[in-house]
Amino acid sequence: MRGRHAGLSGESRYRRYGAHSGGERVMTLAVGGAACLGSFGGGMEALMRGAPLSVVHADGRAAAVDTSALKGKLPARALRQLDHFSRTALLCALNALEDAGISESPLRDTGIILASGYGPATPTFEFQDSILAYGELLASPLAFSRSVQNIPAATLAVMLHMVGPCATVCRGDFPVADALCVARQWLEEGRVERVLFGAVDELTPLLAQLTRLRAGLRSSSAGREGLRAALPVSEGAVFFCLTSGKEAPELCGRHTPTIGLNGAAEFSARSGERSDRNGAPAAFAGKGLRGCIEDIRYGRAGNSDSAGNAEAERTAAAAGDAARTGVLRAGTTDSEVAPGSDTGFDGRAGVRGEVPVFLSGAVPRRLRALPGMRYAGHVYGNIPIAQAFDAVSALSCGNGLPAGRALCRAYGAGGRTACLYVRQAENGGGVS
Amino acid sequence: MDIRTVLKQELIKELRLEDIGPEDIDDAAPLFGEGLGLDSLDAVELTVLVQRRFGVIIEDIDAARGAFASVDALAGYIETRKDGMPCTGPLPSP
Repeated sequence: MRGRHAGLSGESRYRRYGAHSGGERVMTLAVGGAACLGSFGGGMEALMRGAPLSVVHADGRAAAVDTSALKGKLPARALRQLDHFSRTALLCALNALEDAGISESPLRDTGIILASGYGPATPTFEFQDSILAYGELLASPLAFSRSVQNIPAATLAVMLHMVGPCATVCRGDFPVADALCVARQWLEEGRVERVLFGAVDELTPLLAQLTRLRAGLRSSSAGREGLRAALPVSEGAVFFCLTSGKEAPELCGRHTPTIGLNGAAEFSARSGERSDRNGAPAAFAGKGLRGCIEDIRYGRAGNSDSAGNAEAERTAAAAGDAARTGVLRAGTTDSEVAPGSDTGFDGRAGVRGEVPVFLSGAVPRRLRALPGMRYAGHVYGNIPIAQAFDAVSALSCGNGLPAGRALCRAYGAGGRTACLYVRQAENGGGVS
Repeated sequence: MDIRTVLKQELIKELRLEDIGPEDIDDAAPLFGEGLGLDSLDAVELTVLVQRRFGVIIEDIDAARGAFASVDALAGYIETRKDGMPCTGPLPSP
């Protein structure tokens, strides 16, 4: 795909559009450039060779993404404040732009949107650790600045000289589909001419723990252990340069990878499948991508477009994972997932969170709480933040000990993050 | 351990100056702009670091401007104000 967009200029070759099919709004996003990074290495070629998505060391640790190639692209001093999450995103974004043949600077009329299940978790924990270790007054300002959820996207915008809207969709469930809806909305409104879309997550012990926990919760007891063991818990990034699918044939030729959005976001990776209703080739069709993109696709059960993914749906159903075939709401939902003036978010979306709770005693080393505290467990899932306090109390009562502290990390939509630092009330009467 | 060495180690660790070692930092070289190339966010971190590590509070911008001129200047500022906290090496990671 290299250089295919060499003729793409900053001038407006796009226009507002909105196609309709069968009374339902249909929009196709064209993938002008793509890149991926993972523990298997970098580049679509490595992925197409069938490299395993998760490379695991002999000691059981998953291999980390190698971002050393960034040093050949940018000055080392410019990278020093970037955490691993941002470096992964930046390298992958650069590769996607290169794949699209885009080298202009500044990048005008370009929006950037990141999708992440957990966001930059490591710097968030570093900041929380800093509070625990040094107190509120002497917590690290740099750690705080890195813990802001939208920092990786903002870093990309700064480093790539991008001029346009910049947002992060960070939530435990469906961040990719939601972010694609936002990308579609931006393009449809004519807000931007292209969107640099990225899905990024980094591997942390908490991510591994929660992923396995969720797999266990959603599986039958018989398949639970097998599913836990089989889960490829890893890290990586995928970036797409998205443009209007309507003009895709003109821009990209006949091998246009597309992502069809028609109320349900769909990735389709199998050869010969069609992901949109206009007959465009499915994303990366015939290029040997199997068993990877299906895992993050969202199809509507019974949708004719999803018929070819029956196997994936059966697998999801067997795992009790009905949410994977959920319907993404169309229309105003697009603005619900990205707060801020750019998207007209009206605050209706609930903030979801997870609640690790610490009681007196020891805690896992990685979580680094103060001595004398014990990790009691956590509550994970679609928990409105208002219920976090109830969760803390419930865990406290269940362990027969009052909660010492709780760190409530919320998945704010569109980059809003809430980190609540909950302390045990002085009178021991509950959580304050 | 010499306070300048401790300072350099802390600067490298906390400000992520990953491409240099303590021996590469000139005691008299500017910390900001040319020299180490630190920025305003680093200055905030440095203020907290000095208080956390040495118990010395940098109270205003004028004091910081002088203290942050170089490693030499910062070491001198700390030595004249620190509360007796020994400089035995970097603190353990949180």
